[in-house]
Amino acid sequence: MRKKILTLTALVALGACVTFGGAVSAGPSAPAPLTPGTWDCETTQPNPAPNLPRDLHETDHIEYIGKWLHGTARSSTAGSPDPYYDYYLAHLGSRWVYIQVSVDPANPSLMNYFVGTSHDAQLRSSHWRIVYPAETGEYQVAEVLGQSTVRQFSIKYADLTQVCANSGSYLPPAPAATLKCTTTRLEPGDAGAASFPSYLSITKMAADITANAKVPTYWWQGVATNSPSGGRIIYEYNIFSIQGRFYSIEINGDTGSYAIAESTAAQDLANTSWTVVYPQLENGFTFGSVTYGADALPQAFDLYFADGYQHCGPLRAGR
Amino acid sequence: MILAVLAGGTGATSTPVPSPSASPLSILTNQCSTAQLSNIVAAYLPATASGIMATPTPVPIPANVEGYLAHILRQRLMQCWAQLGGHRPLPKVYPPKVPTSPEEACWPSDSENAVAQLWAHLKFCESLVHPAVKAPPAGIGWQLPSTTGSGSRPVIFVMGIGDPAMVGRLVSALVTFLNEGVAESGFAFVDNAVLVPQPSWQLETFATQCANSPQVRGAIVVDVTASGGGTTDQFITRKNWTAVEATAFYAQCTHDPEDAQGTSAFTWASDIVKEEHHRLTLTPLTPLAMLLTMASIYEVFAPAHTTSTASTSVFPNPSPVPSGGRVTQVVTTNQTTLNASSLGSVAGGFLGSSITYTNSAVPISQQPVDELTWDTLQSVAIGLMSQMNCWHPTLGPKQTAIANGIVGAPRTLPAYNPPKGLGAYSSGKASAPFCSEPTRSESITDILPAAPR
Repeated sequence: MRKKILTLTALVALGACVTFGGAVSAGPSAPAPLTPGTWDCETTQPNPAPNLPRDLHETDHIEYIGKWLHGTARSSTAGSPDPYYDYYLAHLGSRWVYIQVSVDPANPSLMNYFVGTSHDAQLRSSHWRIVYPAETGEYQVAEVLGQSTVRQFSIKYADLTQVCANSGSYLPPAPAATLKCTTTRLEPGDAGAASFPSYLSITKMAADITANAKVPTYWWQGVATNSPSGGRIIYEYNIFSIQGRFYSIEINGDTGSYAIAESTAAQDLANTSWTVVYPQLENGFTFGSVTYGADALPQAFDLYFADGYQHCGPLRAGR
Repeated sequence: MILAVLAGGTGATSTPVPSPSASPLSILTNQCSTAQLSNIVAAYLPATASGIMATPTPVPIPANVEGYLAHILRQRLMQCWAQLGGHRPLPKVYPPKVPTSPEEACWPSDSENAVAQLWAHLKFCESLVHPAVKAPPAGIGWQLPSTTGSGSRPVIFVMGIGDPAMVGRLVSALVTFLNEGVAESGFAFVDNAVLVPQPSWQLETFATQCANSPQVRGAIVVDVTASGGGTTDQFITRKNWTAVEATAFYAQCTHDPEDAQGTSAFTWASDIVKEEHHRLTLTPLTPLAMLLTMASIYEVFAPAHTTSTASTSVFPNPSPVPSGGRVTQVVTTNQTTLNASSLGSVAGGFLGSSITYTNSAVPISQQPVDELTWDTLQSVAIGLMSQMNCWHPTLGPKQTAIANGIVGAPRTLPAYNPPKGLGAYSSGKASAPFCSEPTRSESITDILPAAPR
């Protein structure tokens, strides 16, 4: 039940985004942009499950990564780990795509993720379906209450209500890159290859929560920029494990592309083959050798695609 | 009329009915079903009597087997009687000569002990208790929740042809393993279709479903082309064996345009998959069999014995001495010879007797025949999956996907064998048409800037 509440809370956050979010859309019907910054949200569930609070408080930080909006939802109550999830939102083609990754603080072994889409042009009162994975089901924003402004809004679901208010600006800290990556794209035919540098910062997510997991739980977030001191984010990815299997969710701020990939491994990235399972089934990529640092985060690795490869190593190595 | 004939016990034999504790085999008696018994009956009864694909030359039923089978069949008939509403305690004279209700018709008469008759009786009563599942009428469509955002989730049926008992288990095992392949290996079916096992459906039913429901993508049809089983005695062991040969087809359902009436056609066929499983169980030697065996061995190798006895009789000197001279002593010799070669036939007789005793003994921990059949059918299912060659991601080193069946050891799910051209050393073929196989790969541009300079 707690897991469900987290999911629904995330959908409330989804509603917050879609109510105002429009900066990611270049279409003529794009609504007013959602203000990046800090949002304080209170979720009320009239009939909570036993042992669950009636109210949940969370603070969302929202930033833009190119065409994607990135939100982080964390508990705003001191000492309470609820909730803990990240979400991404973009308008791609003719639909909105929302991707969420979450960890259940009460049971850190339970990671969760889903993809929601909406084909509504106007995001207010839009209808959303959870389209991946299949087991997650189907939801929709039932009703939007109150007078929506860029500073405050409320959303009502069948079994809970959330009220959010913008509480100020938020300037995300520049990611401190620790790895330098060289990405090589093989040109068709014998046209040769082109290499591109990028800088990678990898963070262990929910470390204080997952450290208490009875079984190893992984959630790493990688941010690739065009500069070692921050700069523009090119792409961002999350690698996490659910029930003995690695998952990867990658978004590209520049191109808007995204891919959810799976691997049957769950302990070590080295020599793992990945398959893209959403938005369409594809042969994915393969990790080559992977070395880990003292913090158990990847320190160097090789990544192979059908039309190129990438090598990442310590920034000071100068590669 | 049929009820009266079945319950009347015509043609009964004098086969004794053993007591319930006569056999330790774990064939269930508390169900009104022909399950577990099909392959046993097939081994002993001709196809006309068993109603299932039987062995070409049925072997005569040994007396103890016949008694045991009769006991099981009678117990199951009583279960049918109970499930149809029969109540205990039984009247002393029961049933009446002419049954007046279905439950009465299922009570085995005292004179009804022939396996063939009891088998026919049980099949009839099973149909009373568990009427054949009828396919839903064409008007009922499929609207399973979608996984792609629109419409309903497509379905692929898994059906069977052949002995219903065999086909049901094979279909079930195949669906189980394929779904484990989805979970463990990354199998995927076209349009993320869900597999729906329907072992009792006929091809006509599928054709109707295909024509009227746009969610139907096709049907995997497994065909148990041949099956058999038996027991072979090997002096101190007994060998139970089951053999199954099966093949599979895929009937693809096409709706073109999407809302048009569907048409179906077979678009894929597997090779025949053959599996034989057997179990060897030690047969305990009875003390008499052991004694006779040892005696026969002794008699063969025992050396010949010759016994000679010499007796000397001494006479006193006669006086006067006879004219022919005197006799002072007479020596008498007795000789007895035990000739081993003459006992060869005796040894052979001993040995034959011991074998007879051995073969009539109950083996130690004999493998239940039904469990052996399950195991064999699961191996057939794995073999068919290998033929399907469903695409799935390459597993990492030291990784294997395991499928756990109902019985038997965990099985390794077959690996994808790519067709020539996709892999450096590949020799396989493309996936079966109901398996999703990606035709493209993710590009490295997913982790590159939009306009790299």
